[in-house]
Amino acid sequence: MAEQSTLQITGWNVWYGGFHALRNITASIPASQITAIVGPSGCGKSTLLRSLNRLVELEEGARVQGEVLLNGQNIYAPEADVTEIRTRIGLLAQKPFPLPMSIFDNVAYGPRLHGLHRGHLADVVEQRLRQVHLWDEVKDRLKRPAARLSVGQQQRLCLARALAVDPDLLLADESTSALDPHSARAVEDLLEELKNEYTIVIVTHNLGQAERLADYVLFLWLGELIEVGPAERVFGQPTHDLTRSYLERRFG
Amino acid sequence: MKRRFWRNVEEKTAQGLMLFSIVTVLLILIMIVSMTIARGARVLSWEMLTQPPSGGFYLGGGGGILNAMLGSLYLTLGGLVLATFIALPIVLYLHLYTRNHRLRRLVRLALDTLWGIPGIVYGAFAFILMIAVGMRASLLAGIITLALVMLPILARTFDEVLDLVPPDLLNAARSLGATRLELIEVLVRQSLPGLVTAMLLGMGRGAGEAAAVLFTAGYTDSLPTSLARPVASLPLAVFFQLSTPFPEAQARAYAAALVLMAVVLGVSILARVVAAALGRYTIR
Repeated sequence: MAEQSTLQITGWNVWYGGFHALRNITASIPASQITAIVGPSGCGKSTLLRSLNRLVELEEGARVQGEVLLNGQNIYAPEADVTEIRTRIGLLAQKPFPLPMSIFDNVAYGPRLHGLHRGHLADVVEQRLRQVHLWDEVKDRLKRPAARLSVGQQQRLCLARALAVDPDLLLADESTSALDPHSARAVEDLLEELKNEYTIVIVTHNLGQAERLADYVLFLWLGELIEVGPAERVFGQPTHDLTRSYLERRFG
Repeated sequence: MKRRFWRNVEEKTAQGLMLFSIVTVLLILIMIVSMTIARGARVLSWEMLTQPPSGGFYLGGGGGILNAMLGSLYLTLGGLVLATFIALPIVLYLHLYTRNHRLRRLVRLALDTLWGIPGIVYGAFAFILMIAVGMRASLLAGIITLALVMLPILARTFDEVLDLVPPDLLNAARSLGATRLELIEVLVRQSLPGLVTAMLLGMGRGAGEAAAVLFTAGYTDSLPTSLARPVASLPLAVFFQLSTPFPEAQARAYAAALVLMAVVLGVSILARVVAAALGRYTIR
């Protein structure tokens, strides 16, 4: 379905008031792979991720310049429909935020908004909950509030909810950092399984996780894209001194 | 050693002052309630709760305060509904539709100012407007005036309640393709218990308001029948009976106050039960 979902970022700049948060970023995100955005705190990782689904513009004083092309379409074009664009891009946040409704309604929320799967919504909910390996744990309490689930279960529910609207692209913003190690691994495994069908971009400050998951890496430093390339190459033979020192400090 | 002694004294003093405040508040509440019961309970009767005043009521004669009870109920609920329908769009616009922080600050300042204006000023303001449009003291005019009194309380408290909604919760709904209008459902579901508390605050102020309804809703001994006719209210029932020189009528004033307190307490408990039932989906 999303076999050819490509993402091209060109000359991308973000300002918060007078602060230049991202400087002239140009990069291609490969389809059907996991791309990790890494770098020290405050380097603009999350800002870049939030640029990809147009959440960045909601921040106070935010200004943007440049192009983000999803399958060739500029999502920042004046005529672009922001609601439709966000629907095509799933988001997994740092802390899971189920919607204030039942487990079933959480997964059904997106399809209902868009009038999808009328008549067989229950099948879709089951399919998506199975996809994130949550079905067996919740099938007897679908009408219970999602807030009652454990944090790890909530994060998988949020993933099922995002998948239910058939996105082209999945974004994950440090989405395992609030979870216990076991739940974090479960989410990692899921992302690994999903990358065949979806183009995935993750932000992580956990280099071990980046090494385990990423096929492709973007290294940011103070708002600039320092190094970009296949994970094996960037982690194995970084060409830039900043990348090397960042990796070394973390590993040894 | 000496340092430790003084830190201990500080700690104990601070704790003592806090407990003193709590005890003061509780004592005042107990005193008001017990004084009202002591003076009013003996004249509280079934007749008083189920009948409007009959002839000579204010001289200590027969009848009751049903006119004021119903009047207060209609005035307060009507005002609350109207104020909610004005306050909610204001805060939803501020939270979902604008990133203009100057506008937000301006609206908040305006609401804070309106909050501090006494009821009699709202009453006088509404009365002048009524004269201008040729309206007479009536249930409708009272409802509109009470809505004005409650509006800043509701809007400002709604505003604070919605501020507590985590931005990432809204971003989750946005990522699923929700429009701003559709985000309202998420926002309201998440903050429902807080919104109900805000409405209770507004209701409490409205139910106890005497000055604002004095000119606008008027007063009558008959039961409310029409939006266009004057209605009685419990705070004014207390005021008028307390101003008579007759001990029997004065005792009824306290009984009326007791009824007012009981009604406000009852509605508060009911609303909290409803909010708790609806609030079980709230994400923490």
